[in-house]
Amino acid sequence: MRRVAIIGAGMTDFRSMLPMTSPEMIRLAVKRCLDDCGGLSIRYVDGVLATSAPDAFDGYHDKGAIAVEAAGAIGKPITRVFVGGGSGVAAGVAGWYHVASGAFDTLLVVAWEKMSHPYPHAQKLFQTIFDPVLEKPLGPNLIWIFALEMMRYMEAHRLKKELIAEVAVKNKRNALDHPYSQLGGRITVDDVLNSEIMVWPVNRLDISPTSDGAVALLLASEEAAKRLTDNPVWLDGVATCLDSQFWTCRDLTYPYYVYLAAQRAFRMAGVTAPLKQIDVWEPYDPFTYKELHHLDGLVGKPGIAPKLLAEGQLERDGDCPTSPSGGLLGVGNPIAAAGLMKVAELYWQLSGRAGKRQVPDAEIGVAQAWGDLMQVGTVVVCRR
Amino acid sequence: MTAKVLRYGSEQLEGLPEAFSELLKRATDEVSSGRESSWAKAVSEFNERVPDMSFTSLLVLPWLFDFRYRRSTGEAIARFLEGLKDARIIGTNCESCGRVFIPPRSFCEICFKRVRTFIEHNGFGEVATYSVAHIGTNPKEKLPRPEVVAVIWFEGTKVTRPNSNYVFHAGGLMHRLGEVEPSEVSIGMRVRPVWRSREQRRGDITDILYFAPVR
Amino acid sequence: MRRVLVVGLGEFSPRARETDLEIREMTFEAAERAFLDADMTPDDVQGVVSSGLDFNEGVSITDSFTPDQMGGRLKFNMLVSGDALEAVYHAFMMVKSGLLDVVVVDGHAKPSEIENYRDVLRGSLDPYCTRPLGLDPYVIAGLEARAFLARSGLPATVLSRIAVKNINRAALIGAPYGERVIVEDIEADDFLYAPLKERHVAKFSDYAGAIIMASEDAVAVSDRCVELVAVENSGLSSTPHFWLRDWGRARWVRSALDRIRSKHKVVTEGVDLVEVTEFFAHQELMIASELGVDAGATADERTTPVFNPSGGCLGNGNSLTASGMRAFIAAVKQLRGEAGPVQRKDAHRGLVVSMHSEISDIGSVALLQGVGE
Repeated sequence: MRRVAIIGAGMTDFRSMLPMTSPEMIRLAVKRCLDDCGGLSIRYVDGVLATSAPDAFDGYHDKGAIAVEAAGAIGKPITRVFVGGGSGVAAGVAGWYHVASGAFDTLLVVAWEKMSHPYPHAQKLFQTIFDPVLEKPLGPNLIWIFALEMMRYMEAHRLKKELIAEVAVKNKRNALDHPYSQLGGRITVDDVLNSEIMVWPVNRLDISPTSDGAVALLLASEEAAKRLTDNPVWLDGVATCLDSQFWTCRDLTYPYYVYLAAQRAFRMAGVTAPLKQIDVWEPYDPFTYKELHHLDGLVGKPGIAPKLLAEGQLERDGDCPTSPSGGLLGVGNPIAAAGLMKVAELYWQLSGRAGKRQVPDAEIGVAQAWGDLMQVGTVVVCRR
Repeated sequence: MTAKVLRYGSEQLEGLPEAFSELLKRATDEVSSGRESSWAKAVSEFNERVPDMSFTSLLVLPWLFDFRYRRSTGEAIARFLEGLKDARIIGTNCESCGRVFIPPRSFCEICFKRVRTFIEHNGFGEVATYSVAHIGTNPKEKLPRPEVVAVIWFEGTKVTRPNSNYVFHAGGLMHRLGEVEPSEVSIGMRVRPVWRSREQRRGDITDILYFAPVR
Repeated sequence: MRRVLVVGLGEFSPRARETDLEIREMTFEAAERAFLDADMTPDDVQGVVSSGLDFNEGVSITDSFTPDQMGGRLKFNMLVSGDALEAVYHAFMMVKSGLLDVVVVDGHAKPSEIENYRDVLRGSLDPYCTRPLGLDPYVIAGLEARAFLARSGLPATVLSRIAVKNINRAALIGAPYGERVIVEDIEADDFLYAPLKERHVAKFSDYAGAIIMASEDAVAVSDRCVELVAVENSGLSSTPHFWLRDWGRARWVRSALDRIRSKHKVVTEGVDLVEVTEFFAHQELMIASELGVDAGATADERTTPVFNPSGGCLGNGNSLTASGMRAFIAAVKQLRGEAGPVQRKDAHRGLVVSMHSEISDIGSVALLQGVGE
């Protein structure tokens, strides 16, 4: 098994209505990524692994096939993976086996999303996710089903909205230090509680924004990494895990699939006591409660995350800093790109380039994303 | 389909989505109704809201997807939908692991075997979880009355993990709750289906109007 | 590095229109047969790689709906958004890297359920310059066919000779579009996208296929195992910007083949058969000429390597992204000696060449080899 390194990262602003087409966003993210590797020429890149969430957003059928020129893949391998919201981190997983298998010495991983295209709103497209016979006739909104999960989670651990709202406060504050963020800000718990109720218990400020954006990472084999950088970050553990598609037949209290994925990734990376060993956590936070729900799964203890939150341990200077980037709630949520942004954050944190967001002495980090019908967990573990 | 050139500055980007979405609404309404006349007016209104002080030109091109599918349901779901027409809830039963599937499936993903035994359920169930929707598919439009949405687990179908309350499997559906105020709903509440009248039932999931509390 | 073997396969055989089973049930049947074929249960498999595209199924995030019927619940999962041979490519790297030992790969499609597929496919084209023209996207294949004929100097009747070969072979195995035809029959067809005539264009078929791939050290190696020596992919231009193409060539084939030779240090000569996803007759010829085979000779039954002994897409139908899986399985059956009436004698090495989509300039190439005598 070859060791795989992340040797560069680049991203565009995350914004609603970025005045760029998807290929233009991809190109900008790739350029910034190569600049980050000391202006490496695209000629030295062996291939591209692309990811982007539903085809419907960009308004392209088979949208992976739009990236060939923009990602510099002419005459090189280019394929696209896609596991719903879990795609961004899944791209890290897929990137890993591209390089570890010996097939690639260097690989660009690109993720993008153009969510401001759809009219009247992205939810109209999200509706196509539901079962066309059993669910779509009810006229659902994707927020409905997350509200169902949030309620089940709150009930199981007797959680108050006041506590969960702290996640939004923390992540939006963290995002103030992120140069590409969309929704950084100082807000209060009351702001969250008083924001419009969308689907109880989800208020508007519990939800991450819809965004456009692209992120690119450059991966390299150990040998290539030594040649190309002095400051690699090692991608040491990767895993995904998918639960059943029949989500109404499952208990939503605990993301068991995230737990299994995390266990596999930790084992691969030699992490035996995650709470002790891991310095930076980037759990997937499209909704406030999701950060806690996922942290429960990553740590492997149902209900532990709200306790850590109440103790203030999830702050950047706490014992278990989560989403120091600002997460999806603060930086923005261009679905697949948001997941890869979390992997990029591990790279910046562990290579000591996170600027004002820097968690001191960070050595090991974990990033996770989640998607499909509350169904898939994707996890990567990185090490300095 | 014609392309219209709009110009705006990046300074306006933050306020843009709303104005833009209104414009697009006009545009797509025009396209779908075959009228083009008020398009120019919509553009000029848009330009007033987002003054043109721009170095950026954007081409805005409305297009509609019209992809149509005809999906076969397979035998299991076909029998389920037929059952709904008769106000009956049909499921299947895996003879290998004993789990009951509502809605029915033709295979068991755990035993990896075909499932052929159809059963009928009395429709009574419990609220596994619920939420109160203030919006429908369009998040910008408030529903006239908030709706209670719930996952219903059917009685006698729950399988829990050993030594835990974690439900490994249950026959379950997402649906609405009715005859109940949002504040009265609780997890675990016993419910039953309320059906459309016989003449109105068509063999789809909305033949169940909603689930109501058993009082 | 450890060798990667194909240890099991299962199919829901192609048909013009499947009305009884829904798409997940078709996939379940294919997977069930693959497990049986490999003498395994889902417990022996650590992950699932599925393939597919949202608008081909009319459901967004299609991968949500594949794991259960593949025996993949609570296992490793990845969806490759494209042709099934790209999913095989990913599975190959997963096993090679040591991430997984045994993995099941899926390809499924039900084009009979799409009422207006041409509109869906038009959605893969450039929204600014191409879609507003309102053209049938298959005209791009017509452009490609014309350019290929001009470049190769072959007469247009060669297209019919390819169609005759594939359609006749398909008749031998009862494939949905197989029939006994001669060149004159096909030549009498109407033009659809000149120079392409009606039976130069593959019609649709519903199909599901599953294969189980494993590391050689994780399974008992039998004569029925087939080694996947290498699989590579290459993109030459993006689908929306098709005007950037080198018209009349499938350069991605050569590019992927070069990678097989340089990265995997294997020779690609000496193959006995080539399975190709020719959605249009000229694509088989275009691919053959990139492989260095005299394109005109591929229509000849007796040449080696033989092209599309299974009857290809013209005979079995266009199963969208699952077409690559059907071609892959057809090649594995040949190397196992289980191809029935179309079996080639002493087939030992085979290539599978599969396009990303009917009108793309991206594709994958796999090299297979028997492990038996």
